[in-house]
Amino acid sequence: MEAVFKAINDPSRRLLMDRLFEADGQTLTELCAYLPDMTRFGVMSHLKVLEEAGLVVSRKVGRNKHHYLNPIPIQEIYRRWISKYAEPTIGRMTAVKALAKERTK
Amino acid sequence: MSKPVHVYQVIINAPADIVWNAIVDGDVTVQYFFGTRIDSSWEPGAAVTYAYPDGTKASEGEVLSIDPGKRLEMTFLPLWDPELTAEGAAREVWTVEDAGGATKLTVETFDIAEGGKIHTEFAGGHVYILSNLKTLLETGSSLQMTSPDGT
Repeated sequence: MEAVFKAINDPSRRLLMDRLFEADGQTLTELCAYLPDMTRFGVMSHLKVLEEAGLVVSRKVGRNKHHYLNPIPIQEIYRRWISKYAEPTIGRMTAVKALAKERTK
Repeated sequence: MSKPVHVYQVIINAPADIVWNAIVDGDVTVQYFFGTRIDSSWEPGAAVTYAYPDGTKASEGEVLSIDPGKRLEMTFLPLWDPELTAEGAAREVWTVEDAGGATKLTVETFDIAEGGKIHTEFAGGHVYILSNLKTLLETGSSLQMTSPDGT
């Protein structure tokens, strides 16, 4: 879980995850286009951190290596942290919102 | 060889044979796979179904290849929503590997049209199922949810 938090703690890596969420299975060349100021080696290093954290899984098909977003470690964080601490709050917020809506009618 | 549409992976702190059994044993799938039981004779070409407790089929498919304990390739046609059924069967490869005392389970999906309803629904579905399976095998209980978004 430590590796997952560390991996998420970088704007370029979060950007790569978001681009893979939009279009899964992209190659290094495709991903480099989203970070024009970064070297190919830099992007590769970020992908390595994401892979080590289990957030990205790669598959070689023919000559190309494709990168896939694996959201399960994030789901684990959700189960371990968010659902435990935030859900009662979200429940209350929704109730407050509903009440406000009712009042403004 | 086509590239997968999605690849999902989870490390489960359980022996590989327990993880494999959880994929092919209906008494286990009912606890993490939207309350459905898997059933098949597990021969290549055999039918595979996931069914609700009342016997209604949630999906049907065919075993394309199987290496017991290690790899299962099957088609998966959703039956719970006519719009999904109309999009046709997806193909899934489930792989179980030892990972230094734990087990790595990978699910690759193929033959899913981008932008289709299956494409949208399956992504969340697989994350939910695999995460649920991990919790079940590691703690002996799963979240009692019936849909991917918990509603």
